[in-house]
Amino acid sequence: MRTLVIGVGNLYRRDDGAGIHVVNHLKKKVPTIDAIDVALGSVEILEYMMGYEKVIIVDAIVTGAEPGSYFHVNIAAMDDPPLIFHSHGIDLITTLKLGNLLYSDQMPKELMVIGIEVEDTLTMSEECTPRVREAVKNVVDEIIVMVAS
Amino acid sequence: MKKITIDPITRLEGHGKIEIFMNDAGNVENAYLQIPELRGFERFCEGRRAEDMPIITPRICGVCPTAHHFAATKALDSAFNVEPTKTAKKLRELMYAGNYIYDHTLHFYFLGGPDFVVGPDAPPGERNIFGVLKKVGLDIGKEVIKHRAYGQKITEMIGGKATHPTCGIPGGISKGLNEEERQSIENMARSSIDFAKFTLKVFDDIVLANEDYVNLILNDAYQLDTYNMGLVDKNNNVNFYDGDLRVTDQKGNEYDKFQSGDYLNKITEHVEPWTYSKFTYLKEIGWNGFTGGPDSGIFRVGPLGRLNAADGMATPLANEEYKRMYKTLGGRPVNSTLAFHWARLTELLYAAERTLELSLDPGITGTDLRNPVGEPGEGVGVIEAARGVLVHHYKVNKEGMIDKANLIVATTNNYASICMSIRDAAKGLIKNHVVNDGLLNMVEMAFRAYDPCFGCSTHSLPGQMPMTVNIYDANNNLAQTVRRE
Repeated sequence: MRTLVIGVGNLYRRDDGAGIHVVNHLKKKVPTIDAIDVALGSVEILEYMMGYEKVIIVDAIVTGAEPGSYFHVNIAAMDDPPLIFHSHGIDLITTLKLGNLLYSDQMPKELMVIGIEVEDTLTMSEECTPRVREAVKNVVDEIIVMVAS
Repeated sequence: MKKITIDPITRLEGHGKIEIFMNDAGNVENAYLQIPELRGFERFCEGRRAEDMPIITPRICGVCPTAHHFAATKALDSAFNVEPTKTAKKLRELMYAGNYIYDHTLHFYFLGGPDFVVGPDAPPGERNIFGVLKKVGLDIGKEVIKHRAYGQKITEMIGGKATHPTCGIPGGISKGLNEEERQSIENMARSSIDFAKFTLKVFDDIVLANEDYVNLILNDAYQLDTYNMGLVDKNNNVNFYDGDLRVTDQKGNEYDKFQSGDYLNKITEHVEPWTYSKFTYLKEIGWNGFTGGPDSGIFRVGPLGRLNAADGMATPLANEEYKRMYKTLGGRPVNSTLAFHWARLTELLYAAERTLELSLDPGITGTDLRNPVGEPGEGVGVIEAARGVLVHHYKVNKEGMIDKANLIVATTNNYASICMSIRDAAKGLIKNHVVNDGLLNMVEMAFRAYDPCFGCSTHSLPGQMPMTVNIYDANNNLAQTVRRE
């Protein structure tokens, strides 16, 4: 299955860069993987994902859970998916709905969002906090398995 | 006093929070916008290689990366005492015009435009891109996506990477343009001009043809008579990339015009205890509180600020649109905050025309890409971010490392005006405890017109529509929470 991994976040806002760190680690470990850093991208995510069968988006999130915990959601399979806000103002669900409306034949059949719960996003730093750093490593390993299968 | 909190604000670039303070009678006393500010940026930059700044700064905020890239590059030109080559300057401006095509397209169709195109009284769930597409048709949706992508492709072709460009270096640009790429940009520019004209027609047919909307634009609640500021070329036309900073007064006359390096003598900052962010104002006029008029140093930037601070647009079609806007809205300056949308579309047309002009320039495929740099020192770079004047100021030591960095971003320059616009809209539209969803949206409209960004980024997962209104009683206790469905 042709798979693309998209990292979202701000690399210099400590844990907010978790998704970007995942992409950077992945590219080092598996140079052949299709993985891109879109930073705080919005509608362009739609353009990137067109033509792929499966897309995995890794993002930093706040739900109140333990920092460093993370979860997977297969958004494409959900009837009423949760709204995830991008700071660029256009949420992921809007982007996907738009894609399905305009380019239904080119949209991925599977769309997995991996959200990593953050601890600190206010400090300017390229380093994540220890628990989030650990989560980044685990998510990288899981994605490698997912893509291989 | 009752306090109303609107947080977060739908379709905005970031996580701002609006707080409206009401008195016992249920009328608006004041309104503020809270901005979560990034702190520690200066320390983050200190000790880094100066030449890395055009790569680092686009990631700080993330919403206007190309503007930060070129503000940083221009600050380095100045710090290393070098002028970019002719070709490099043209390429930078071409790429930047492409950036405006996608930024302004995004704002009109996705962020600010839905309020008008779908209508301020429409249910909140319809005031979005889907509501716009319902009005203008699905095929137009593809045109929107296509032309936004054109702007991005132009940026990528010259800049190396679309999201985080890497091309800007002091004295020049890292790579040139070949004939095939030039031709491709020319084609995209021609198509973008048609798209901009179409978008202005949508604005015409849906907004200007509706008397209620025009009255809304001209409504007293949306008027603000501040000074205006923007970059202008030697003919006092709007320029996104370069020129002098021009300030016009409440009558549209030139108040001041200065080179970017002079900004510290012209602009200074005011601090309020309730926000980390500062408020810029004209030093010579002074801070006179949150008020407009000639005695208040507050100025506006961004599309309307730029058009008000200029005498016209440098390309023919955009200049016609410029004249039409002022003729329709009663002459320059236009003080209506909602006219930001029309000004933005006029700029979209200018950006497309300028992209075509530069793509046809015989020198655009030149190979003189970089001039040798001089000794490092202090430098200021000013550029028009889509949202307004952006200043980067660096002190570079003998080793070429950053000793000190200071940034004044567009939203800071508009911050005082945004707060006043929110307050005035609230005063006119929320009265005697009547706070309904439509009225709140009118307040948001004042705010969205500026296309502000907060550089804030962590994503939240509320699982519901993002509108929560907290109403506090006279003792600041939470009396009621209203959520948008």
